[in-house]
Amino acid sequence: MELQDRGKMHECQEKQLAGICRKLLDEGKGDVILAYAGGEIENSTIPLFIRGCGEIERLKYDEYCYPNLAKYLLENKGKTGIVAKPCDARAIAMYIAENQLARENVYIIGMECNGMKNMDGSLAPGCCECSVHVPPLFDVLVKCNGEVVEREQYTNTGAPAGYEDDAVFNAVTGESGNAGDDNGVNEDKPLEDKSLERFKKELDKCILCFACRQACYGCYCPVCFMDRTMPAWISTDPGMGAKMVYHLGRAMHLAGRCVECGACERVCPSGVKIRYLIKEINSFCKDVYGYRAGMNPGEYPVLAAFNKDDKEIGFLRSE
Amino acid sequence: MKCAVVPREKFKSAVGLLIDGYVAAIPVKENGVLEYKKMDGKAGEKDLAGLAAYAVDCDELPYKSPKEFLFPQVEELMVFDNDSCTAVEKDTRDKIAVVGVKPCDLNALKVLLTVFFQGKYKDDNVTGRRENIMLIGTGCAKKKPGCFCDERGINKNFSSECDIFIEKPVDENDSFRFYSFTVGGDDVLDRLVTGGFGSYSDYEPACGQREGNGCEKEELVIEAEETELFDTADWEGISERCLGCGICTYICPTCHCFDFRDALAGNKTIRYRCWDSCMYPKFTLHASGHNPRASKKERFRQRVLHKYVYVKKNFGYVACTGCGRCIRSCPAGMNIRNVVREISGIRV
Repeated sequence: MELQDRGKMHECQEKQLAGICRKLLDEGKGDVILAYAGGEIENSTIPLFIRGCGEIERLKYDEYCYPNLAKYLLENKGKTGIVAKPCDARAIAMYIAENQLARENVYIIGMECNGMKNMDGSLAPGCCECSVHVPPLFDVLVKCNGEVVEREQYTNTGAPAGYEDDAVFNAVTGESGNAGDDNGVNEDKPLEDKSLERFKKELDKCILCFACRQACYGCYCPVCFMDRTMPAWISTDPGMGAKMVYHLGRAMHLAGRCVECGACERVCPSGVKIRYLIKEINSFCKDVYGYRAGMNPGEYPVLAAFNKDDKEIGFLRSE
Repeated sequence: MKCAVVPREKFKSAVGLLIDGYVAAIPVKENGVLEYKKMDGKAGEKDLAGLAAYAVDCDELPYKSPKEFLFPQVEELMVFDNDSCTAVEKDTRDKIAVVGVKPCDLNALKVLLTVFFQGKYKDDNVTGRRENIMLIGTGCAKKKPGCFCDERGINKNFSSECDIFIEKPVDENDSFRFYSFTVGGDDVLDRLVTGGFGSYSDYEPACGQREGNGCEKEELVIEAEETELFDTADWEGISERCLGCGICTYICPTCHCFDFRDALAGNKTIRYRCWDSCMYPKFTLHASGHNPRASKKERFRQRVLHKYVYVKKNFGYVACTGCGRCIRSCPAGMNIRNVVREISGIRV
């Protein structure tokens, strides 16, 4: 898809969004709507909390809508509407599956998405290799061409609700699903470098600021194990040992729970690219248990479910 | 205070002479991230002078501030066991030359030094390090997105809060100007001139004369008293977007809160000091379990009021220099400039 088409696509979607938000407020379906507004800095957007019609004028939807909105849902703001890209919708589905959120309290405005951009115009991390372009969960869907589809209508057409049906998607947009990944990691390709050296090289850059944890959809424990003091699990000395405990611990906690939004890499101030580790565990869950986080809110979380037919190869992957 | 004029063709070797005998900390771009790197290898192995000259010329701000050279993220203080306790010797072997520090960061380091030196408590660890550091400053050609140094009364083109300030040529016929502001800086300039890399000229205070950015006045300040803002400002609404990730405090050039921790190493215990962040749930958590800053509303209020009210009240400076790092890096688009404008009654 040409760049100018992309711009037009978001313009169409933005116009529809404003209408939907106005309707939501009028009908009293949402006390607050989580959406995007233009940022102070060029090529950026910021989260917007719409509580009245006046704020709708600030609404923006363009190719820089990368901030994660779904995490605010955990703050219990009452009936909430949310503008959700596929990764955000997957996070919502995960929250519902993990009993963190009641489905009836959230109205999901799904956005068909072709990937968002970083401030510098490159494809955002997560978007590079994303294969889910239609949110798996929504109440109303705003398609790339600006068409608005209600949930009932959408299922009636028989189209799969957001599963990786790239063939259907590509027929619509005329673009190949995989835009390539300049980080050298591709979800479907086997990992090239699994060495300890690579891991250490990435960890070397880490300053243990925990920003990735705060930005992550999957990290919502009231008290993170890293924040426990009695006893303390690690020292705050950013040595290799503490960094390994943190990153491996986080990866294990995210096993089968990462919705591939890329927020961890986007927020990292020192460019630590550790997502490959979590992706590896994600693809393990997909291969062994056929599970992908946030694709179906009715599905039991993979590590909370027991099935006697499960393969017993364990985490070490030794058959 | 001296000023030496260095012709373009001698610039690189002059910078080489400046950092000679020092471990150079130079902003280097790796994987798209510009960061100060300590070059402690042998000088011959890398083109240090070239890197340093590039850093002076480079018009970008490193993602982390240079505060870590004065106030490292982790610092061991003492080692003890049941019978004995020894203070950890301060590492004074390395003399570090920090190259290409922009005026916002230079002013921020001034605030840090004031906090650690002029208050009720003097911190020898931090101020002692200053003696081993040569700060080589340089100006900014243009404002980056999110920068607001002009509103904070900081001249992006010039600063005297360093040992040596290098002013870039304004046009093709112009030369570089090296200004010195400390005794150490004077010595280096002497070596530079006797070495034939430049010549002394009449000191010309560039501040304000050379296309200053109209920044002599601090516009962005909070006039109100803390008591007026503490409960009246809508802190809940202001902090609603904040994710509490704390990245703003880690990359901030003036944030200086720290914590003491003990770590076991064999049968000894190491007591060390490390950076803390007011954005964290553990910040000022009492042993009883009570936390005076229980939610992000209180934490964000602490961050803003500390920078703009408390430090100013205690030390005379506002602890924000408008470098814009927190604004550019925030994953949720928090903007301290807008918050200050809002609560000080100036509408955006």
